[in-house]
Amino acid sequence: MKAYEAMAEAFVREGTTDVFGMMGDANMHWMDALAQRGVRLYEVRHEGSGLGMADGWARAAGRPGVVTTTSGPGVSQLATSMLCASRAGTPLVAFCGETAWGDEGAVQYLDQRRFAAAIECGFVHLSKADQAEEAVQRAFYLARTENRPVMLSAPIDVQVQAYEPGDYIPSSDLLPASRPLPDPAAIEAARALIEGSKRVVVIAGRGARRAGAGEEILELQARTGALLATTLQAKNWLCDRTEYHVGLSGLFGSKPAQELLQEADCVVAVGASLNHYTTEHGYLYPEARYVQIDTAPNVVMGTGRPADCYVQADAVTALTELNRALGTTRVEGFHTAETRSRLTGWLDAPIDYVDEPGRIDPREAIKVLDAAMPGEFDLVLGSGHQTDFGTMLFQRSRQVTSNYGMFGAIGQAPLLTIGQIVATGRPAFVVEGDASFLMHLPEFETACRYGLPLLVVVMNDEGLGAEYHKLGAKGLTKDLAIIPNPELGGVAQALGGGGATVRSAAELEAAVAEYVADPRPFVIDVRITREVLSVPYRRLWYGEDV
Amino acid sequence: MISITETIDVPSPPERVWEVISSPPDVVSCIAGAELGEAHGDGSFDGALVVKFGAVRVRFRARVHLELDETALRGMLTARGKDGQAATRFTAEATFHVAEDGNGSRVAMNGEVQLTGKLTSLIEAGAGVVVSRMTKDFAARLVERCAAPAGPEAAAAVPAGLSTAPKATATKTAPAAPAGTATPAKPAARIRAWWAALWSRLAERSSQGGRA
Repeated sequence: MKAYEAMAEAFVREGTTDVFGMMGDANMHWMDALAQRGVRLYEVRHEGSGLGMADGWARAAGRPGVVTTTSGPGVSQLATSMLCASRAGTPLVAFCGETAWGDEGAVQYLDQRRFAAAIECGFVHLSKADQAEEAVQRAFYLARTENRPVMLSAPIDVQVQAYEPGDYIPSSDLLPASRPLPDPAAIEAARALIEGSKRVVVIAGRGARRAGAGEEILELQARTGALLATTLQAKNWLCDRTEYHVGLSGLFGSKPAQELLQEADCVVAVGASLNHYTTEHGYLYPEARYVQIDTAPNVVMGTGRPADCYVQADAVTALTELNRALGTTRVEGFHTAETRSRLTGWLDAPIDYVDEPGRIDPREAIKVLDAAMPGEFDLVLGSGHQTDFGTMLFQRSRQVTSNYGMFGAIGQAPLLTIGQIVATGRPAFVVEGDASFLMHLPEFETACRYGLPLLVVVMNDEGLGAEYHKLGAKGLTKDLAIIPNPELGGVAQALGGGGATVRSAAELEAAVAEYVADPRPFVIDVRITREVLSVPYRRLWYGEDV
Repeated sequence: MISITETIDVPSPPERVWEVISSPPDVVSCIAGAELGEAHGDGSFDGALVVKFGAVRVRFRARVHLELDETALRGMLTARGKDGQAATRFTAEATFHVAEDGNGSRVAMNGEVQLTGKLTSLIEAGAGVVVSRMTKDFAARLVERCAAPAGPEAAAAVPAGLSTAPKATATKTAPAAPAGTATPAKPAARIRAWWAALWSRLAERSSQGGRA
């Protein structure tokens, strides 16, 4: 057996079923061996895009995604997507070929170890054929335990050397399977802190959702009369289960949410890191004391401080114990008719849509989408100014993924969505800006080739929306950010998918219905007005209380 | 950095405008969300200000110095402080000048506010808009305040936290004129009397070892 075959076999043993990437001299042997072992290969149009897909795949599957490149130029293409995955804490393994070991004069030579360090990923090198299995195991172990991408760099001459496979132990077998249980003293401290409080807010994050702690969170919230808020990563989770769900905690929260949260005297965070986005550097909770439940040994909040009471434990176990300790007494807290009316008043308030011929108000577009897309269709939120509308206004309970704050690169969301669909098999829609979508347009053709049920909703203001509005706020030339583009519905059809360009709410509804009836690669180019400034921008740039 | 350049037309005589603008309690009553705190030995005093950035309310505490040139009707205010989270610090410097203008006065204000720390990323350019909105609001209240008759209570108002009341609940409008500070004839005397009143109270309190 050759080393590349043993490595392919080891990837299969690690649970690899889908690999994204582009073939070249230095990875083709390994890809061939994977194909022979039944692994699905997704040939993409740019290695960085493939990494974005592996990132989306890993986030949805909850295990390491895999991307592959050839040597040198294949590797350097990974930069931006790798940084995004690293900032997102995504476990993935990038199998990168390398020129012959020691041949620094080779055309495609790159110091891949130094490059990996710069793009913030781990690095494992295959220096000898007899490390073939060990290197794969180590790469996956690092990805799983450190929650980060790892580059496995393998010189082509080493890959083709002979190797005698051993008894491969998958990295998951190296990890203990036990749940971390809470320290009773920490539960007691949390109980005392919560019982000494009158206005409790429970913040549910991605960790709580992954742990499936929904029922326990709802019970805690009912007992303590708490408001339930989520982080951006858990957007809309449990929003159909309680009247006291305030939506997002942070800049993207509604005005009543921001006002109510500032009244809190206690925050209970479950699987949420309480970074500076969630608490607005602590300004959203000026009077609160914090209880934080997380599996990590410790968490420093976005304020640079630890929680007043930290409980290291699995979310379900910790909440079960905490609910038991709190007993059956129920506290009214925030659970009043007044709170309810403040929350529903904001949702029900009529919006005065901008009436511009041939262009839709982005807020109306989101409303139409939220109503027309069934809850089983997953949502991925894109980037740029347009994403603010969806981030604030999508209200329906569904699986939502946001890439906000992960290096701030545009163009990543459609790639994440492709990977997610491959992992789940469920149709999904991504709401993205025109510049973002066009950045990696060729990957829509990839989605078409594989027949993925992907809907890209392009909120098309024909420009760089964020820059357009920031130029305006700074008194610079707004029009510099206007970049016209062709009708993308037609472009999508030319690439082999379905497509529509819509200029009214009715046309948008019809296009969504066409996709929902037959989910397939589809682009809806929604022509939106540039006249509407998002709420976060109104707050940030104009200090408006909205 | 946020710049303040504001000219306020006040339909009151310069003497009256100076009287208001040189009196910390009066000025504080013209700023929404502001409170006056303790006075210090070096002539400075504490202040607190709640500012709304969007829906988020942030409470700043500051130490304020006021230098007055009463013959020229000019003053300079400097303040430095931080917010309750201690995540954001600010320094502010402003000069003001009262001049006669037609039948009333014109107040020229020039200043700079420098914010550093976590809050700056949350408020971006919005901070400048907030400050300019507050300046406009201050102008309107100043006009109103100057139009109100000057009284001994305004002249000798006791700052919050310095009342003789047991629980220090006096507000900036508390009519707690100390004995011996009848309406002074000139603003300078009035300011001196105000500080004297503060000092006697501080001295009393520190001799009892108490703090607000």
